[in-house]
Amino acid sequence: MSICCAKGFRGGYLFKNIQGIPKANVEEMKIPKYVVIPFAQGFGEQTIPLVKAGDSVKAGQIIGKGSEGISTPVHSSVNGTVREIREVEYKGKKILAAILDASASQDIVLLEGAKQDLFKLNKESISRLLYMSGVSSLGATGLPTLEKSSALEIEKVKCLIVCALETQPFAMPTGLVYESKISAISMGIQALQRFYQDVPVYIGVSSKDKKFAQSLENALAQSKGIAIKFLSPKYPQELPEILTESLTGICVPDGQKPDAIGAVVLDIADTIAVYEALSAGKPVIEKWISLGGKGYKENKILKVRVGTPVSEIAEQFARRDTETRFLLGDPLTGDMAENMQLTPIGRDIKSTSCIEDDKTRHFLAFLQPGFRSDSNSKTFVSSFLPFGKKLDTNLHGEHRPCIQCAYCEDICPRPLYPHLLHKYCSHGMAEEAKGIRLHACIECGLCSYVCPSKISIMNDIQKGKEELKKEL
Amino acid sequence: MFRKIFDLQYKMLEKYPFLRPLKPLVDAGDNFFYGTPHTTKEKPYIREGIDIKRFMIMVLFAVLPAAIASVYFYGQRAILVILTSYIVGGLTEVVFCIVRKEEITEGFLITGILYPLILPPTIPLWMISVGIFFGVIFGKEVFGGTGKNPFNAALVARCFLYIAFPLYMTGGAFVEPYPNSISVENYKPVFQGLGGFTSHRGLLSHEKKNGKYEAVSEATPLAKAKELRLKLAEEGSTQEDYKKYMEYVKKTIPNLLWGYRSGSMGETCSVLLILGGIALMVMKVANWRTILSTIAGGAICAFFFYDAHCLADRLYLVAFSLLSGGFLFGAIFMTTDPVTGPVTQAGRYFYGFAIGCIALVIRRFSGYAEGIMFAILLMNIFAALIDEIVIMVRYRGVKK
Ligand code: SF4
Ligand code: SF4
Repeated sequence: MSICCAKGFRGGYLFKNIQGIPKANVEEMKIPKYVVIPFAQGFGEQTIPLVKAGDSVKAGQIIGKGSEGISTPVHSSVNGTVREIREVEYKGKKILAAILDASASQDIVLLEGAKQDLFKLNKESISRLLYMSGVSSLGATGLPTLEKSSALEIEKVKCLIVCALETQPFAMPTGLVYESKISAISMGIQALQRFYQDVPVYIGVSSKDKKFAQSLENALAQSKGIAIKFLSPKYPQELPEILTESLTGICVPDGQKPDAIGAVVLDIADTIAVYEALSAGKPVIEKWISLGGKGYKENKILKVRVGTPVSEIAEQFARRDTETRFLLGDPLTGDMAENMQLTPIGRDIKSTSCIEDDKTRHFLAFLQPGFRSDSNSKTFVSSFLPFGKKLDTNLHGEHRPCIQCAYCEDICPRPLYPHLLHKYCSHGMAEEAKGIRLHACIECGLCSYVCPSKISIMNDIQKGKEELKKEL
Repeated sequence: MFRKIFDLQYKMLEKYPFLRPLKPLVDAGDNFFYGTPHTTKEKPYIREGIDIKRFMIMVLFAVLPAAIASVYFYGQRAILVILTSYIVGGLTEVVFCIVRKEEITEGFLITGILYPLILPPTIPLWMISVGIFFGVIFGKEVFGGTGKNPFNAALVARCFLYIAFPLYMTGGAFVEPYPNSISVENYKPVFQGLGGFTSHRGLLSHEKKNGKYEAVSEATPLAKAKELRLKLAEEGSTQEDYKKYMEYVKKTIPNLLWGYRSGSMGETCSVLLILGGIALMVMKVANWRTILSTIAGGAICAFFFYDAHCLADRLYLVAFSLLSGGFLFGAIFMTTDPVTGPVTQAGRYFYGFAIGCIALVIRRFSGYAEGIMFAILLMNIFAALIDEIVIMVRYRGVKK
């Protein structure tokens, strides 16, 4: 086994010297007073609630299970009682969720049948453990098991892809954060590889994390069919479609997820969850999330219970001296939490960002040298000097018509003309847009980020896609 | 302090309803001086720093050295010419925006300075006003303003003058630069003095009573070279004629580089133009594809169009073609106007290359001495077609 560099992709953007990148220290957050558990987290449909208001629940207890289609059980993450079951907004969708009042007790109900030596488990028990622990809902399209937990059937798995890098503006230093977990990661990967009949495994590591890749290689030295590849840390390398193409060389068809070519895409944290589920029977009720952005007092990694409302996190860790905006996910693809009290950290969230809500007006902004501005063009001093750059919510300009500068075309990671897509979609010509591969857009958000006319290109594209969906 | 002026203006607007139509003007001024207070409302919630103002201002900065050079070579009159263009064109734009109740955009910042720089230094001020008025209306506003115009407004304005008042746009309209500016000795520039910075020759009007210009009329190097070349083509031309032709070309190239030549105001000093072009390409404000392919197109055509006895002579002719006339100015500041060019990157190669070729074809085979203006306007028309073809080729086989 050797480590080689994977082929790059067109476009993309390298975020450099951004202020507010999380440091590698992990802090555990206290159990919050209440948690919000949506009945669908990660990949899959909403499950059927098994509890009702007033019931008492234990941490690790399954409170929602089964549905018509693809789903994975949902667990209570705390010991306590069910306050109510109501609809909440989670990741832009309205779904049912249980609000649980929590007690401070740390006990967790573990699943039965787990074995310390996880290679002794047979196929059925691995499948059952993955499904019952909730692990099977992780990853881009879920982990295929013998149950209906993923869009992909278990026989059709062709390869396993592990994403061990982050490239978003507030990327955590993956190598440093997961250094201590290498044995868990490698065992998780090996167990999964065996489970899927020895499919090839590709691990994508940032080309900056040389040491981490080396230790990972040492840990996985005995296994066959595992390739570790260096990837350039250019956004959006970590998005499943791009990652799959970089690592396997096979294109994901337009508008489909990697499961279309039989790839199971996992985040590196998910492999730890696999290990813990198989070796100890631990359900996914704890999560490491990164706190990125200057809106936080301190940028670090936080270990939280699944379902922790973001208002709790904001209250404890966000700055008070300035207005901030909280985003669920990274700043380019993350959603704004409308109702912070009822927006939870689901099991599929790995980062949060809190950026300053900058409403100040700068005198002659367009003439200022811009020591702290990030830009794709090289019109700021910051492009040539290593100053820490600040990201905030200010638009930094007025809306204007498209001037066809083609920044968006240069930056788009897919072979697309975002400005043309914008033109068609915003004029209700989504049909036309289909002809120029509307569905190839993976919604990375870079085009909107770089547009000097401040056009929300990605938003228009999303609307166009929805319009097409409605027509069907 | 400054802030108060705008606050006062807004208060006035509220108080006197009849002033309300002027709101776009106040808004534009307000936004110009104080960036935007708006924050993102749609995903993604962060946006990078560049905006259209900075984008346009960078072009302005890049062309500024050439504008200053025009003052140096042709006197303080150049300042007046640029101001006239800004004022008349700006007013036209503002009136249109007020009538249409639209925001005033920044596009005019560029048109306003590019336009005077491609005019002969003796152009009467009233003619500038007529030209820019026409250019802004028919080059831009009738199509819906910046971002929708198929033609480069500055070139439309110049083209209009060229057709309407050919006498003022060709031949005798071009005069020698100030003798006390730069001279070239042994291929090195020698500064002779402050040139036009201290002179206001023909400030308001360049014409004397008897219809003569105050300065010495001087044919542009392009026109002269063409004349010499045509003589060569005549029957009975001798080796002597060829020698004379080549000598003129070789002698003129350093002058073309450093700016001591007759020509349009901004086109003179190629060195400054090239520096501006490099800055724009590095900043990614101008698309390097267009600039380089235009130059490549021009160079290749020049290489094959102009006969010479040996390779070195041919190369001299190529350099002469690229440096003379408005070729560089056009390639760097006119073809790269993103709005009027193709929208696809692949299309930009063809667009630029075609402009370079057409400009040289016009120069070589038509009666006109200079062709870059017509070449760009012509390709403006075909930009949409180029895009169509590029998209068709690229997305063939995609199901609708
Ligand atoms: S970045 Fe914006 S202005 Fe530039 S081409 Fe794309 S949509 Fe148009
Ligand atoms: S068009 Fe889609 S894929 Fe391309 S940059 Fe925009 S959001 Fe990303």
